Amino acid sequence: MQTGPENTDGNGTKNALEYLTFTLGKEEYGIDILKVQEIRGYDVVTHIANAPEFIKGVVNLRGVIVPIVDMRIKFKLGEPTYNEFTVVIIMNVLERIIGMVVDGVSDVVALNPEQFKAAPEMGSSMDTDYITGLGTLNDHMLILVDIERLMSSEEMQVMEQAN
Amino acid sequence: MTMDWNDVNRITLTGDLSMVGVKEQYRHMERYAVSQAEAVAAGREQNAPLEIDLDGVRELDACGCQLLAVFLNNLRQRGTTACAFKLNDAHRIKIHNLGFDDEIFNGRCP
Amino acid sequence: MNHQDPTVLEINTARFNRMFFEECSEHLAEMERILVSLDDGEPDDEQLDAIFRAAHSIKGGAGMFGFQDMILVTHVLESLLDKMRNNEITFSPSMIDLFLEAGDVISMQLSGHRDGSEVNQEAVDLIRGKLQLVIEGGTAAVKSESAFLPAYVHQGNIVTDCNAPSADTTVHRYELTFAPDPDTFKRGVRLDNLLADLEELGMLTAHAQVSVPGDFSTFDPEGCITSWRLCLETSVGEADIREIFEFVADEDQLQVLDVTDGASATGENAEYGETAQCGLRIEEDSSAPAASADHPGTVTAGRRAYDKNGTTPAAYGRRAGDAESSIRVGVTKVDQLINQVGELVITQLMLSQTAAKLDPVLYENLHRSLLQLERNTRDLQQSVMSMRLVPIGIVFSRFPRLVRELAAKLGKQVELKTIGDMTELDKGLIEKITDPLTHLVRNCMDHGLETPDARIAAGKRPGGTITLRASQLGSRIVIDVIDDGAGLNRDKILKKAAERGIQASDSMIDEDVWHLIFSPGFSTADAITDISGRGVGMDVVLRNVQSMNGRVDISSDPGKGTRITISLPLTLAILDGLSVAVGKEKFIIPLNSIIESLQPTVENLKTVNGKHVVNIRGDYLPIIPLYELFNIDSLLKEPEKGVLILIDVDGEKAAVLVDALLDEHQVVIKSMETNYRKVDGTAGATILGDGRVALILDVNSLLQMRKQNMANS
Repeated sequence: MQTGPENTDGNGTKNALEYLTFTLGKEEYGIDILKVQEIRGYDVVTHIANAPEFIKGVVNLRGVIVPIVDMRIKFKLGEPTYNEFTVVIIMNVLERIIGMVVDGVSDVVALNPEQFKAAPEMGSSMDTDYITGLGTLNDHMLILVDIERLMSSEEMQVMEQAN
Repeated sequence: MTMDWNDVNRITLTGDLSMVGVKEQYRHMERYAVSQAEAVAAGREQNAPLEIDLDGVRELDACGCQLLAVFLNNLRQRGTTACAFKLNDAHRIKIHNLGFDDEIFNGRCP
Repeated sequence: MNHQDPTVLEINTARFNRMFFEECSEHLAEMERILVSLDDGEPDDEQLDAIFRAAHSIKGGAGMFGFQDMILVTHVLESLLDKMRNNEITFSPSMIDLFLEAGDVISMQLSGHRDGSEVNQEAVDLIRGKLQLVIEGGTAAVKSESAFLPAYVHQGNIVTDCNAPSADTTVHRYELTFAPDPDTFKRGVRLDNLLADLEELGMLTAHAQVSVPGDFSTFDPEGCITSWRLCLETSVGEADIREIFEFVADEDQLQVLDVTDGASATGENAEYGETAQCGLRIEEDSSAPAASADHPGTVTAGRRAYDKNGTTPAAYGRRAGDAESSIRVGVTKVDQLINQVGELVITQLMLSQTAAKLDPVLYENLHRSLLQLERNTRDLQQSVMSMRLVPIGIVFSRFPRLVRELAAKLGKQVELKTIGDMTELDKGLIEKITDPLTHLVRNCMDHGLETPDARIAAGKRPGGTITLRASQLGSRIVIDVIDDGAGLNRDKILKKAAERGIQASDSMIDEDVWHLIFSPGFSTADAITDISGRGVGMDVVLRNVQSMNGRVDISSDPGKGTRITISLPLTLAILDGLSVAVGKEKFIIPLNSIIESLQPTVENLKTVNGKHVVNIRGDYLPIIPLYELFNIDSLLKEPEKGVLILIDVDGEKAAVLVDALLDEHQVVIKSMETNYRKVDGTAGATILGDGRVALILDVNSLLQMRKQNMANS
C-alpha cells in the first residue's frame, strides 16, 4: 500500500498517518493502525500439522478461527518465548483476520509522509518489498511495514496462493 | 448418531379412514405417537411440522375426520404441529362439507 | 378485469414483488414438472388441477402486483386449462408443448419484470393466439369470465357472516347445534348423508367441534365426541329440518334456532363466542377472479382475496398447509442464525463442562436444567441446520425437460431416470451443482448415447437411458450421471489429446485416459454441435466440482455406457464427530467415516515393508499413525499401546492410530480458509467445549497423504 499525500487520519490531521509500533528483537516496526483490530495476550494455540514453524497454529477468537504467526520466528528476531507478556496483534488484512506475535507493542504514533525515508536495501530483516519506508521517531528508526503485502506474500504461507 | 428425521416427521395413512377402519387407523396413530414420544425422550425429535399423508386413504367419513382431529390435537398438545397435508380433492371436500376444516387444517401452523 | 388499484400499487415494494417473483417461479417450475412428467400422456384430473392452480396462482399474483402482460397470457392459459378440466376441450399431446411454451413466455415476462431483461412481444402474442385458437376450436362460445371457475369454487367463496342482512325475507337462517350421542358412529349413522340432505334444503355450512379426549391412548375411535354447529339458509321451516334428524338425534341433541333476524342472532352469538363464523353470505361479487384487485387496502387483504379465488377445494387446504406455514428468509439470515446457534452450542458445552466439576447432589437442579438446556440447544441446532437443506430433486426436476428437448433435437430416444431425489444437500451446493450436472447430462445426450439406428446395430434397445442418482455415502453426497451409451473410446481420446497438445501416453491406465476429457479445450465430438461440443463443458465441470471440494470420477465400459460420479463433501456446518487425542492435540474424526475402534493386540499387528498393518478378521489394513502424518510429538508410537480407529473411504479401509478416544460430539464446522488456508488431511476446524480449536480430519485426504508420504519415502 502506497501512502499517498491525500491520506488523513481519523482526527483530520493533514497527511499524517497513525501507526501502531511494536518491537521485534531490537528493531521497531510500525503498521497502519487501521489494520489493527485488537491486541491480545498469547493464548493456547492449536498446532497445524506440516505448517512452517512460524505459523504457530490457530486460535478461537470469539468463534472465529484465526491463524497466529510469530514474526520473531519468521524474521529470526528476538526470542520466541511465550508467557503472560507475549503480545498478539490481531489484524484485519485483506478481509482476513490474522494474529501476529511480536515482542511487545510500544505506541501509536502519527507520522507525516515527509518523515518517511525510502528503505535502503538490506536495512532490515524484512524484505524491502514489504517496507513502505523508514521513519524516525525519538532518535530511533521505525520500519513501516506494508502488512497487507507481507501477509499475502507467498513466503508467509498464510493465504492460499492463486496459481 | 445419524438420525432419520423423516421418521418422526411424517405419518402416512392409507386405506379405510371411516367407521369401518378407524380402529386400525387408531392403532397406527398410537404406534406413531409412541415412537414420536420415544423420539422426544431420546432427544431426536425435530420441531419441524409433521406431514400427514392421506393420499392413500380410500374411505373417509365423519368418524375418520374426528379421529384425525383428535390425533392432531394430541400431537399439538405435545408441541408437534401438522402443517403439510397430502390428500386428494374428494377428501378435502369431504372434510370441508363435514365441517372439519377448522379442526383439521385451520390455525394450527405457526 | 384487474383494475390496478392505486393503494395496491403504492405498497408494491420491491420486497413484495420479489415474493411474487419467487412464488411465480415455483408455480412455473411445478407446472413444467407435471407437464414433462406426462410424457405425452393425458394428465389425470389431479395433474390438470395442479397445472390449473399454478396458472391461476400466477395470474392472481400478477393481478395483485399489476403485471398486466402476465395476466393476459395466464388468463388464456387458465381458460384453456379450465375447459379441459370441465371436459369441454379434450386433451391432445400437442398441448403439452403448447403449455410448456406458454410457461416459457410467462417466465420470460417474469424475468422482464424482475431483471429488466428483454421481452419478446411477438412470442407473447403468438402464444396467446395459439392458446385462444385451441379454446375456440374446442368450444363454440367463449364464456364469460366467471364461468372459468368451476362451480365448487363458489363454496370456497362463502364468507360467513351471521349478521349479514338477507335480501330475501322468505329465506330463514337457522343455527343448528347438533350433539350426537357417543354411539352415533357405531349405529352406522352416515353424517355425510345427513349433511347432504340438509344441504338440499338450502345453503349449509358445517362446523365440527371435537371435544378433547383425556388421553389419546384411551380414546375410543368409534365413539362420537364431536358436536356440530350448522348454519342453514333455507326457505323451509324448522319442522322440516328436524325431520331430517329424526332417526339420528333425540330432541335434546339438536337445537334449532332461527337467527334470520339479525338482532336475535346477536343475542345468541354471545353464547358461542365465535358464532360470527356462523350464517353465510355468498359472495356474488362481480367476477370472482377479479376480487384481488377489487379489494384494495393492505396487501394482506389482497393476498387473502387472491388466495380465496384460488380456492379450488384442493387449494383450500393447501393454503392452510403450505403457504401460511412458509416464509421466505434470506440465506444470509439463515447463515447468521446457524453461526449464532453454533456459538450457543459451544457456550452450552462450556457450561456443562464447568458444571461437571460441581457436586451432583448439591447441584442437582442445576444439572437437570443443564441437561434440558443441552437438549434444547441440540434441537434448536438441528432445526436451524435443516433450514439450509434442500432435496436434490429440485435440481433433478429441471432435467426431464432438457432431456426431452435435446432428444428431439438430436433425433435420439432417451429415457431419464432419477433416483434419490430426496437426498438433501446444502442449499449452497444445490446452487453450484446445477451447472456441472447440466453439462454432464448434455454431454451424455450428445456424445454418450447413440442414435436409435446405431443402438439397434449394436444390439441394444433403440432408446437410451440416462440415470441421475443421488445418495449420501458417509460424509459425502454422491451424484452419478449414468448412461447406457457407447462408452468412452480410449483411442479416440488419446488421439484427440495428442492433437490438442494435451500430455498423454498410450501406457496410461483407463482411468487416467478418461480424465483427459476434463482437460481444458478437449472435445471428442467429431462435429462441434451447439449442444455440448464446444469443448468448454467438461473442464468447467471439473473446476466447479473442485471448487466445492468435490471429486469427479469416470468409469466407462466400451459399448455399455459411462458413469460419471460427482462426490461432494457434506459441507454442512455441522458434524457428528469423535474427538481423539494425539500428543497434546485433539482432533475430530467424523463419525460416519468410522467403522469401529479397537485396541490392537500384539498378535494382530504385523509389519509389511517396515509399515504397520493390523489384522482385522483376516483383512490386513494399513495403519496410519496420526502423530507421524501430522508431525506431532507423541510419546505413544507403538500401535498396541494406542487406539486404532477403522475408517472406510469409498470401500478403502485403513486404521488410524491415535493415543486415546475422548468423546463424541456434534461439532460446528468452521472453515480454515476463512482466515487461513486449507490444511491437508483436514476438513475444517471446530471449537471445543473448552474454547480451543480442534481440526476435523478428512479421512479421505488422510489416505491420500499417506499414499503420498509412502511414494516420497
